[in-house]
Amino acid sequence: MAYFGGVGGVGGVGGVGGVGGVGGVGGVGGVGNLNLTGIGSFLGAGAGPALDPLTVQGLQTSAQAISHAAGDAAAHTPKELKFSSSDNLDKWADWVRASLYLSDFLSELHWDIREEPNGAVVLSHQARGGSAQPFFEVTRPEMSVFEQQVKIVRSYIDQRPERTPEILSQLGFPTPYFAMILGLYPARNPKTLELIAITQVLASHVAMIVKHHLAIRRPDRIDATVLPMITTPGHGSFPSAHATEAFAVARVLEGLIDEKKSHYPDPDKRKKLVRKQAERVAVSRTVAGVHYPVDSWAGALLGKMIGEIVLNKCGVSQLMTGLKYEAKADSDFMLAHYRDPVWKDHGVSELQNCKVAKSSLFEWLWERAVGEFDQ
Amino acid sequence: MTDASTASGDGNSIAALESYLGPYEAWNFGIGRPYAFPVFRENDNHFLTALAEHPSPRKPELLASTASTAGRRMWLPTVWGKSENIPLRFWPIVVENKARGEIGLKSLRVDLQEAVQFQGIDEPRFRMAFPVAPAAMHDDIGTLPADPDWSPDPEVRKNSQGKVINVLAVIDDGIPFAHRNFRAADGLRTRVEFCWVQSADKKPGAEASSVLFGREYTRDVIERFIRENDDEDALYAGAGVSSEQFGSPAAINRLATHGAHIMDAAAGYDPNKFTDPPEETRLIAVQLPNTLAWDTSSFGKDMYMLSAVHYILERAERIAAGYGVEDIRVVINFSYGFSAGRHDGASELEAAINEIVTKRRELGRATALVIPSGNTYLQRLHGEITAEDLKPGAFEFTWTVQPTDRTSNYLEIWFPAGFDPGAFTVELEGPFKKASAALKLKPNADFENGDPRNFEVIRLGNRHPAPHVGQMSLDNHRTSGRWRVVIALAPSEPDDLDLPAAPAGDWRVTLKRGKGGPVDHPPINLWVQRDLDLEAFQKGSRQSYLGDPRYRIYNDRGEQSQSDDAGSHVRRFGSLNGMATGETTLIVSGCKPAAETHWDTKKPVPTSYSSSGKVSADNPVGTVDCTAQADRSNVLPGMIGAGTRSGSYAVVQGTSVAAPLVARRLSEAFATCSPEEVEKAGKKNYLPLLKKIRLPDNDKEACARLGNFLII
Repeated sequence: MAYFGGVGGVGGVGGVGGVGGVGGVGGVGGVGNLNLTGIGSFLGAGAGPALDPLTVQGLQTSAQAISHAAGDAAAHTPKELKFSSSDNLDKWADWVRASLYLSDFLSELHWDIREEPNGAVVLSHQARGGSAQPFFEVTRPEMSVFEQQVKIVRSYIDQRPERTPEILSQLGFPTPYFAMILGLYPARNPKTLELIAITQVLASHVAMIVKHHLAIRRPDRIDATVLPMITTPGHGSFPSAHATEAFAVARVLEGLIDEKKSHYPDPDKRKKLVRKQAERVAVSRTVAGVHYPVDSWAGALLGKMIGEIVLNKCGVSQLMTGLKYEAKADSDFMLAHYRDPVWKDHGVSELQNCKVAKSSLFEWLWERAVGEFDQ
Repeated sequence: MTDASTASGDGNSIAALESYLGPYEAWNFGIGRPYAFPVFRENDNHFLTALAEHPSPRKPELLASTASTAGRRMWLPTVWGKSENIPLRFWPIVVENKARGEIGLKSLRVDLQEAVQFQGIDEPRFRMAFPVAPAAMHDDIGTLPADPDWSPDPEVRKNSQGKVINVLAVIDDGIPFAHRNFRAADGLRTRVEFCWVQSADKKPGAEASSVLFGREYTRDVIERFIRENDDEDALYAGAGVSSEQFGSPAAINRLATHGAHIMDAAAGYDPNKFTDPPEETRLIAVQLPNTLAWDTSSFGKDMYMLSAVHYILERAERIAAGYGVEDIRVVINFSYGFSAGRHDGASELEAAINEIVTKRRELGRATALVIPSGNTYLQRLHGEITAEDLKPGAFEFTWTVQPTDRTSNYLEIWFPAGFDPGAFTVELEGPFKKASAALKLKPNADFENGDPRNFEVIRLGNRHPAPHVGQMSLDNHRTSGRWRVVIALAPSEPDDLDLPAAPAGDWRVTLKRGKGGPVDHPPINLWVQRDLDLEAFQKGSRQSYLGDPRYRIYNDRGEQSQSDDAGSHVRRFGSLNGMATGETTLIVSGCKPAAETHWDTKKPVPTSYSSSGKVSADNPVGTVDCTAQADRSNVLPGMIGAGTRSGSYAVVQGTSVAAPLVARRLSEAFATCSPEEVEKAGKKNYLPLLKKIRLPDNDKEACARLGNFLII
């Protein structure tokens, strides 16, 4: 008797169609990029080409040869660009916009470290001149929690063969996995893909801050038999950045679907699938052997908050309820438990409401992303 | 663990085995225990299981009463025929192990004896199986489980007008009982009436369990799960079936399982395919303990399998009563098998299943059992030693054991019925003479009780004390006049690196005839036991085989040869699944379209792996009854079927995939045929009821492999 992967694996031949993704090169829309984290697909995106020396020389000789044909009439009065206006964003390279979004977001992010015992990281949102409003608090779990958790990690090892394609193609941001659900296409949805990309970048940065302070060893460091199938990343385990990113994206996409409810005939199904995909992305990292289930919990909760901050900055709403997470040793991570009130059993509680103001940068992006979905 | 702890004294510790325990038990609970599967070798086994074979039929009421007064507790799982008090010789039992969880040959004997209370001639024979995990065992119930809380679906009668309500059952692993493909057309009601997950942890706080171990899900419970969950991951987690089972992750958490695929082929209706499912066919499923955790040789499963058959038939009678059906017709698909065994229908499990099916048929209740022919045709697991081969007085052959094999290997030599091997000896020599042993094929008079038998230890090298790496045995199997030799070898790379390993390579086995031994006799059969790792590298088993330079893998045209060569004792024909030789089973092989044609239903060809009986007319090892497609083509292996989650698909290959199609067609026939037609067809295991395509009978080899009919 023999098993072959899901039939989907056979259908993978259809992936040749993905060659179309080449069109995305140079644009943030490039759905195809798989292995970039950090600033993701923004790295160099939209920048002009670095010219080769021959072309540079050619440009100079041709300039000298043709410039006389412009004549020497007086110069025309040039028009100024608008001062401090998001209207200009279209003119900047993708990576410049990314830099602006990131700076805008981080300028309002604060983190406080509560010392051990009961060490914790508290993330707050603080607009210029405002007071810090905590939106996420996570305590550092005891090592005993991870000793229990690693048993759950081992129970996922058997799924490695069937999830290998997903795990390998999700080493970076798993954008194609969300694009599949919403039918996103680079030519039609460049700004939606930019919104997804920046959400991932922001989530990744925030996750790194929390990971750095909590400094939790990866599963393979506390149990020799985990033997991860991919290189263990060079940062702490808790929370999972993949979970943070995926759930941040899921939250933003839910907002997008809600904004244009009539675009899809089945918006509720799309939202369920987006959330389910986020869960699968997170759990696949446990399957790979690089994350504990509680890493996914912390990441999913943090991701939800980041997604809401993005939505608030986009002007969708202005209020959000902060979350606090205290990991439980026996928690497995599954979507069915990732909601109020079930998640209380898994150590999730609510903080105060937090107010986040709009940002002209994010509003600009949101308006264009929403515009990509007709009624 | 060191050698000293594996056996006391010089290996005659085997003599401690005083009762009716066979060579597999002797190895796995005796000197081979350090190599046995974790559930056998760990010391937390509180609930032993066995298939008990009594010398004469016993009524369940008698068993139940002995159990309640016995010194040790004994339980029966759900058994068929309890209300009618039908006497049977074979019973699945669970016995309390008082030896603080330890199992050894001595304590096993005491446990069984005190629990079942037998003496002398009344002594039953036991085929041991895996212990039940304490987390799954409802030891607080009485001797028998309670009745299930079940009532019929009022819609079913209305939706199956003009049809005969019948039962289709599947015994397999990883059963997705809430899958969309097993529901009615409305997607809300399920056609699954009962599902027993044998190794699920018991329901917290549950009282009066309706199963002895694991959990049972009735139709209304499954329907509630479906209503309350639109996320099937959450559904199975909430149902308690996605936790670890038998020390392995639950198969249901995977994208594809054997059971999902098989049950879909037998009973699935993909809502994307526009055909409404027939509601007259009611489904029962039994999920065996996680196959990933099972012994790769299949030892230790018989009790679970017999329990599954009992359960299905017991629940089928409830369905009959619930829907007002007289003599309800039942089809059971059991896509499972192993390569060794006696191949005459009289192995313990076959005899046990045969007994219960025959009893039920005698009551006028149609009972069909569909089993695949097996996938070992080209694996060199079968051989024949003819009288001609033995003419010089001895026959030597090679048994090749592979390196990095982390599980035990078994070779079985079966003598023909009535053949007394008393004048024969089996000599064994390891690769490079690293080990040797010889066994006289005469029973040892020291064993007063039980089947006549003898044992010898296989030792490594000549040092003293030489470590044990195997066991040779002789037994008169079930005292039936069929003698067998079993050679059990330790892994070539044991999990515990401190244990001695059986050297990998060619083991020479010599069968020698002494003075007065019979010279004219039917062939002596060899079968290597399967050593199948369903998931590569999980258990690290590697299949041993009969090595022979005269066995040609490729023919002159460079194709994989599908016929036997006159020069070799290693045979393809006769490789039939060891549990597919019973009288009451319908055996299905796998076929595919011929390479050079489109799918011509008159000319299917056997899939290269599809096992077969002998070509000879008096085929003594079991016969393929019919065939069904198992590969899509020469280049597209396997068939497409359901994965574990609604809307998922997987490809599974093997004769396992062919059998459930036949089960499906049989259930369709049961829904329409008259009682007379069904009654008449019973003698031929209901094959006459199937719509079928008759295959040409001019090619004897094709007939042996395909049977006479193609089922589509």
